[in-house]
Amino acid sequence: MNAAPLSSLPNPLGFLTYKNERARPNSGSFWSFPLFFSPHNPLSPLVDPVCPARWGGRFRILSRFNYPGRSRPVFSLRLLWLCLVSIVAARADTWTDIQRRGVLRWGGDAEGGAPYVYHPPNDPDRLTGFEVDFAEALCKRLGVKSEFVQFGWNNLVPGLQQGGNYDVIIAGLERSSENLAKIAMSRPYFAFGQQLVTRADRPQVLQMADLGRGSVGVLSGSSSFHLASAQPGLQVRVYDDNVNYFKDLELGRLDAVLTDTPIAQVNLAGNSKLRPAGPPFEFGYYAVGIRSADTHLLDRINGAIEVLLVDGTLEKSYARYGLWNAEQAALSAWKPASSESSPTSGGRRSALREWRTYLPILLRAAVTTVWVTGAGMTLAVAWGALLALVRQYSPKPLRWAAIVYIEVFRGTPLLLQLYFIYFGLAQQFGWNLSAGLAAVLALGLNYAATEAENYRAGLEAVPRGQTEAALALGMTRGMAIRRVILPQALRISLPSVTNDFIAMFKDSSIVSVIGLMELTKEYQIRGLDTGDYIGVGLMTAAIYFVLGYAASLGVAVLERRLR
Amino acid sequence: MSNSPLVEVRGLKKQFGPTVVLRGIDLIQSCGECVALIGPSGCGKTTFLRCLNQLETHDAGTVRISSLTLSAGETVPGSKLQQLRQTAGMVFQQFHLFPHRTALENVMEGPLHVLGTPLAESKALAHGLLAKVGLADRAHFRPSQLSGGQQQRVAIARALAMGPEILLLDEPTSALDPELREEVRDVLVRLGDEGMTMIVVTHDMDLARRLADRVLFFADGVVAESGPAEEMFTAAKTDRAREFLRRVRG
Repeated sequence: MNAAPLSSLPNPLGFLTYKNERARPNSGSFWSFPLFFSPHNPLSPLVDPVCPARWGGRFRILSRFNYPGRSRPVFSLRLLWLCLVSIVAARADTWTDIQRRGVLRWGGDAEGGAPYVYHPPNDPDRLTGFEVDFAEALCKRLGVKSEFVQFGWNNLVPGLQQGGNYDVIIAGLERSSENLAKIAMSRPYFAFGQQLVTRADRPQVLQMADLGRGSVGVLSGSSSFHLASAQPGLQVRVYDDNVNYFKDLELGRLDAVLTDTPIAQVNLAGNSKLRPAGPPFEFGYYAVGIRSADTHLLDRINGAIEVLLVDGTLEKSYARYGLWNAEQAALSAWKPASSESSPTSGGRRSALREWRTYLPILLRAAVTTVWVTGAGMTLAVAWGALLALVRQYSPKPLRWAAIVYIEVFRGTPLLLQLYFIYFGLAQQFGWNLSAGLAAVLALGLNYAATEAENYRAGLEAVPRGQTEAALALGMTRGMAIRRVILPQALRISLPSVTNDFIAMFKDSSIVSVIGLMELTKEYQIRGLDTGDYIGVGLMTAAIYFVLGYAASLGVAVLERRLR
Repeated sequence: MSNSPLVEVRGLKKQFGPTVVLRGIDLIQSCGECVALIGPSGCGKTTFLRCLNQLETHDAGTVRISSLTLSAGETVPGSKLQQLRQTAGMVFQQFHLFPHRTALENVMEGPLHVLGTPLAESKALAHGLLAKVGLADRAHFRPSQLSGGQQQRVAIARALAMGPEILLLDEPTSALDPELREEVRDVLVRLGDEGMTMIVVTHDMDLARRLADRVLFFADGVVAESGPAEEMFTAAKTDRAREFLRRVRG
């Protein structure tokens, strides 16, 4: 299974513009009407081929607004375009386009993709990997040129379904019934299995059941993820790449990693700290993903793969990566199962109709969101109060330290701080924090800076006369602050603190990058599973809203009692 | 009480930056005596009062209240400051009640948390003092639910709860509507009758006349004239005092 480091949410309305394979990239003027909305247009609102997947979903979406001179397209225009297209344009097979173009564009993800598709460290401009070799051999066989298109791995299938700026997917895409329900898939070009990997110091682990209630790292949205999730008691930690879970396994933050055999093979080579736990299992195939309507293209590709398997071309190139084995040799004799399903209704399921299945899953993820936010905000409130007091009342060197802390933590991105705390501290000092602790620390330390400023505003808003009245009663300065100033300052800053609580509630989605399965990540995965981004999205939004609104109501009661 | 005066101020001077506010004030006050400080705005009355409990530090001279003596320039330890402020209670023009606490809690705050009096005892004391200022039925009201006059009476009760030997009152009726002043005057006059020592800074001549045994007329940072209250109001010696009194009477 190939890997996208950070998956992103596709535009939830994007599917409305499904169409238009015939528009050619970079042809026509920027403002010409169909091309403007075309996925081939690099400035299209639908796909963003410019922005590398590693920047992550939230940044990718923002980057759409960063192009100069273009305002956001109006929804009704898109709808109109959809109608026009569906009436006028009868789609031709993509194979015709490929032939006319002389180029086959294949979508994949080069991020963390060894041995699939990757930039070798000694030559970062070049692309290599067994899938690059496969794609090139395939294109040669078809008589066209090969062109790689970078796309976030998680969204390759919906991207292809919605038009995409690539003709096929070659990205360790599994020939699974889920994928076959959404798109057509060629005959297999690679056979893989699931490999459980653990540390060398845990010889007793031979299968997932041996892990008990331990933790296992998997790639987001992969078949490993589904397998691990089905194992009762196991704590599943989701990663967006296939590098960091091995790192965390070495550091002892994980008990095991479940991944595809090629990835395990690459990462186990020369690593004495890790070892395979038992033999590979749950075998499957990688196949080329093709739009379900492209039957000609499917036939051509199937024919080409068969030739490449029989004439030894694939054997030669796979052997170079040490990947040729008996399973690959058996591929040439492969026959599709007679019961194999053909794509139906684009593979979209209605999550709303199946809410009994999906709501509990989302609620479980919401528990993580709630405790991370709860603990993070508790830390932020306490640490922020201390910072505000130091900034306001302590002697100069300490005061400066507080100001520096506040400015630094307020002025740098939360994501950066999170990476720094989770990976940076482990790398530099060997401080091996758990993901939960790192998440709470990052959120708490970051928000403490904001809270400190909220409290300062509150402290400054308490009239001077209050301090004098307290002192005139014979109180010490500390007592005056504690008994008279702070309670009033707290009441003044309460609305801003509530605001920040709700903001953190939503910001906590960022902790998924260190493998915590929280609500937004669950949404992303289930949206991908079902193809129903709106249905799952509505349920997710409802959970966020209910929890956030409950928090505001709670604070409103508190505020009334403090008045 | 001993025979020596309760308050003894000698040569008190204070300046804010280049502005000299007090140019040398002397005051000898015996126990049970009520002194009113009057004079035009900006003449230093309030600053003098705030120097007495050290909300402002003085630049020269000495202040003695009861057994505590403070010389200018001396760094006063916190404990001595607290002792001073317990000896000399203060009532502010703007009341400065703690808005997050009820009237009862405002009064209890000092005994309970500063003096460490047990809760039940503090509560009984506070109830007694609220009754004394006529607010027994307002004990559980927040300051925002009380009128200005009621708030000032709570503030007086709060100051009394510390058991001070002297009460410093900074324009206690100035922030009040005329019809509310009377209730505060009544409370203060009754206190004076009971033998409470007080210094009151005021523009309220009715209060000064009813309360004060002695009046000090401040002008330009000095005591321009002083004398028994009756004498000051009927036959002030200096032109400035006469002029001032004529104007404030309207």
